[in-house]
Parts: sequence; C-alpha cells; structure tokens
Amino acid sequence: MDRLSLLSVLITGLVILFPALLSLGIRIIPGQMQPSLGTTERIYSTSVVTETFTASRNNLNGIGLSLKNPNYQNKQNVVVSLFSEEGELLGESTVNGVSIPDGDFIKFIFKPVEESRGKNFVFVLSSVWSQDSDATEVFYANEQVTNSQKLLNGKIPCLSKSSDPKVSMIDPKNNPGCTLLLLENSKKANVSYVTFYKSTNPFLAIQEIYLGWWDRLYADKSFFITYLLIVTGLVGSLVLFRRSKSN
Amino acid sequence: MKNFLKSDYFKILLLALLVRVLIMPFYYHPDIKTYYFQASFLKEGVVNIYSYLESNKSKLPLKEDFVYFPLSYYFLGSYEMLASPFLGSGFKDWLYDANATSMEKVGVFRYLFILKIPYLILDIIIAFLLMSFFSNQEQKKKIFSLWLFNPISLAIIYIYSNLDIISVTLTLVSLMLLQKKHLVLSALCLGLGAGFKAYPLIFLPILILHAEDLKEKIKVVLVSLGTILVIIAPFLFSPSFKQQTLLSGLTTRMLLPTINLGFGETILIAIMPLALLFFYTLLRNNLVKKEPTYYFLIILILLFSFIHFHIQWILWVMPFLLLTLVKKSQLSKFMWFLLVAAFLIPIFYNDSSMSVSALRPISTWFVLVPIPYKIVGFIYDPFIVQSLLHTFFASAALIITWALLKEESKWID
Repeated sequence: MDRLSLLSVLITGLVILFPALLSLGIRIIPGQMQPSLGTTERIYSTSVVTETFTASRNNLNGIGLSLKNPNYQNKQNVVVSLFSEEGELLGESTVNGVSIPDGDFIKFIFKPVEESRGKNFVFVLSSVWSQDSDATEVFYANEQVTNSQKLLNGKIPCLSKSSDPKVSMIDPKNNPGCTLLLLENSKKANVSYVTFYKSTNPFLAIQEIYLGWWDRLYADKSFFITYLLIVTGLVGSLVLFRRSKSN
Repeated sequence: MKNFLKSDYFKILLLALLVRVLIMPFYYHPDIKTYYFQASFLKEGVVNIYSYLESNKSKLPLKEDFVYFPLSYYFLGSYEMLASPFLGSGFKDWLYDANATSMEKVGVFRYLFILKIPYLILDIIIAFLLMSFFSNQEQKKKIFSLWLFNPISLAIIYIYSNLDIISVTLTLVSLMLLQKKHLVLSALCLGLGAGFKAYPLIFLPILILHAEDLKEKIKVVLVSLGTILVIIAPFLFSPSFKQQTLLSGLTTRMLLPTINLGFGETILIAIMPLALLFFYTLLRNNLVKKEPTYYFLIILILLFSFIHFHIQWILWVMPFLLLTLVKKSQLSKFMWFLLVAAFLIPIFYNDSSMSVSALRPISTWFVLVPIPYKIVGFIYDPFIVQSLLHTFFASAALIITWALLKEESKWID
C-alpha cells in the first residue's frame, strides 16, 4: 500500500473511529436535549423553582440548567435538591455563584439514584442566601406549557426557619413552620433543563451512539442509497484503477 | 482527459474524494447553518440582507449578523435555490430550528452533505490551480497530494465549513495571473475575492509593487478597488452593512493590538510589520517580482502573528504556505510547525464548536465531552497555553519571513 492510500485509510479510520474514542470521555448521559431558552426567573431567599419529571434511565445523577449571572454578580451557593415522589431528599448539589458564568449551562451532579428508571422525581432550585438584587436567574423553556403535574402528592417546597435554612418538600395543609417558596410562575412555566444519568459502561454508550448514527442515516432512505452509491462508486473506481495499473 | 484517467493524479483525486465524502455529512460547525439560513432570504427576494437582518432580528430564530460581503450572500443564496429540490421539504424547518434538537432531525446528514458541495468543488479547483504553478512533475504531484491530504485544510473546509474558500480560490487565481504578468486580471480577481470577504485587498500592495510604471500602478488600484466598490456600492450608505461587515472581523482586529505613545497616539502592532515589509520591498526594488508567492505568504503570517485569528482564516494561508513548502523544502519543518500551532490555538478557545461539538450530527452526547480548554484548565491556565502557541507561531513566522527575504536578497545581489 502506498503512502497516500495508507493516509486515506488512516483518515477514514479516524473519521469512523473518532466518535468511539471521544465516547470514552462521556461520563454522564443526557436524558433529553435541552429545550430552547425563553424567559427567566430570579432565584433568591424566598424564590425557588421546581420541576417534576420521570427518569428515563437508571443512575440518575444530575440536573443541567442554564443560568444567568451577569458579571458574576451572585456569589452565593445555588443548590439543586432532588426529591423522590414521597418528598424524601435523595441528593443535593451546590455550585457557587462565583463559578457560574452568565448564560452558562451548569451541571448539578449528585450521587446516582440507582433504580431511577420510570420513577417520578422533583428537583428544586434554590439559593437561600441570595437577595433579589444579586439573584441568579434560571431560564424557562421557550415554549411555556401549563403543567398540572408540578407538585407531587400535593407537596410543595418550603424553607425551614433555622440558622442553616434547608429546602424540603412539605404538605401545605400540615405546615410545620416553613416558609412556602413556590412561585406562581413555576406552576405555569417549564424550566429548561436536562437530566443526567451516570454511564456505567462506556462500551454501551459507544454502542448507543453508533446505533443512533446508523438509524438516522438509514432513516433518510433516498440520501442513504445515494450516499452508499457514491461511496461504492469511488471505492469501485479505485479498485478498477488498481487492476488496470497492474495489468 | 484519457491520460488523466490513467495517471496517478486520478487515483489521488479518487482517494481524496472518498475521504471528503466520508467526512462531509457527519461533521458540523454552526456557521454553515447560520450562513445558509441568512442566504435563504434571497429566494424570498431579499436583496439587501444587511438591512433585512437588522430590521427583522427580533423575529428571526438565528440572530447573528451577516459579516461577509454581498457576493457571499448571492453565491450561497443562488446555490441554495439550485439545490433545493435535493435538500427536501424538511430543510427549511431545519434551518429555522435554532434548538439543539435540530441536529437530531432525520435529514441532517443530507443537508450537510449537499451544503458542502460548493466547498468540495472549490477545494478540488484549488488542488488543480496549485498544480499549475509547477512544471516539474514531481513538484506537481507533491503539491496536489499536499493540498488534498493535509488534515488541516480537510478540517477547516469540511468540519468548520467556512465559505472563506471562495476568496481563497480567487486569491490563488490572482497570484497565478500575476505570475503570468496579467496584472489587470490579477487585480480584478483580488477585487472579486474581496466581494466575498474583504481580506484579499491586503495583497493589493504586492500588485502595486509589481506594476512596471505609474500608469500600470494606477490601473491596478482602479481595477481592484473599482471592482469591490461596484459590488458594495448599493450597500455603502446602509448603516447595517457598515456595522455588520466593515466594523467586524479582520478590520477591527488589526487595530486592536497597540503600543500606547500617550496623548491618544498608538503604534498599531499588527500594521507595523506589514508596513516594514512594504518599505523593505520598496527599498529592494524588483524583489517582489521574483517570487510573489512568498509575499502572499509573508503578509498573512506576519499579520496572524499579531492578531487574534479565527481557525477559518488559516485557510487563507494554506495555498501559499504549501506552494512555498514545495519550493523551499528546507523550511518545511518551520512551516508545518507554524500550521499546527495556528490550528491548535483556536482549538483551545472556550468554544465547544471548535472541537467536540463538531460531532453533534453523530450524537448530541458529544457536547458533554470536556473541551480542550476545560481539560487544559484543570492543569494550567488555557490562555497561557494559547499565548505560548501564538508566541511560537509568531517566532516561526518571523524566521520564515527572514529566511525567504534573505534568500531573495541574495538572488537580487
């Protein structure tokens, strides 16, 4: 094989294998694409947003949100708390405002919930030490839809009255002295978020990526056939060229 | 033709086409969608894209400015109209879909493949143009292979898929005509190239220096500037055109690095080496006539040494660098170093579309892979790494400039 053929094989191999190599760097798998961004909501001491979702995979271990923080104005902790359907706190992840660039997509990662697939969860985004004036803002999805499933089992987020206030989910009928935090907006709008799941086997991720790649290529049938013909035509011409040269 | 089909060039071309066909549908940079989105308004009868974008920005899903000159808009818009039967009915929806989910749509591979076809044609034309600079068969083959198989131009054209390749082709034609002493046609090509993107005008001093007498010098200036003026004349009084093209990109970046002299005066660092080169060439009369290729190269590498540049701009240098590399193989180490450094600097920008996000058509999961900027950031300040690379780039550029000018001076002496 001459140098150019070798180089072509190398480049072709790289094109095909590069996604596999890069897949090894995927530690968390997104559950869905992030919906496009719309309006924002300020997050501070008495203002939180909540979102209810059903996990699409096992090992739920993160929530990604787009946050606004012009000139790093917020320097307080921003917390995502994950609750089960029953209101039990399953995980918490904190990112400080000093490391939230304006408009960045921030991943809040917590310990994986192993058997999460098909179960309902609530996450609450809060920042109890922030003030309205220096609040970070979370982006809602562009298309706002009424979501009657915002609250699970009638529970809503509240802030405990203590020196170290914590967000928890409570039944408002049986309020044990919490500050209720639910915003009116949060009932109407959907937060633009992404759920993340820990990848336990990198080879499964590679397999999923290649199968998805193939499926989408094959789904566009007329292009798939044309593309296959072009590639086959070029390879065939090369083989014919080689044969005619050797004769 | 029959001879070509039996030659090694044909085999090289087939291999090159195969590699390109394999890359084209699967790699993506947002620029290709943005520019074709903007060009799609030609079909709707929009002639002045600059003011159209300005007045409709709030309604449009993609809000970027059209930073290119008018011919780019007409070129892309016309091609899009021609290709529309092959793009299919879902294409317009895809163009208008600014969501990240648009990359998961069925048809994305078809769109990317078809939209990159003009780049493929120009890429192959450049390979043949480069060959025409040599009469020696070995050099012809070398430049043909170097252009078609260097991973840097492959990545810039088919991954970052920027339309600078049109101006690059016209600039190369201009150089070819200059070498054949067709000065006026050469100036015309520079003007046409600038009709797509302004940068080819930076080579105008070479043509002026090349001209034999004052009459020819005036003719060269009139033809090149006249061409670009005719192209932009309908837009000259449009504030949105000025805002989006004249006050963006290279023009402003050239004025950014300065040494403050006080009292509001500065030395423009990026302009100074170019001015030095101009005066040096003026001093050593006829130097530029021997090898204008070197001057096309030197101007660009000196300029890039002192400004923050886009990865796509490396394509401006590529043909001249490869031509020089074939002619002066003793400088090849410096030239490859220069190219690799130039390519790596933008890869370390805090911009995922320069690296991992290019694979988004294959899977949107790749946006989660840490980008080089972040990886380097765990160990060291990525801006220092960029700065180091740029310093080495500038040093290699200065050495190449010195070596080429020294060699040419010897020839003159």
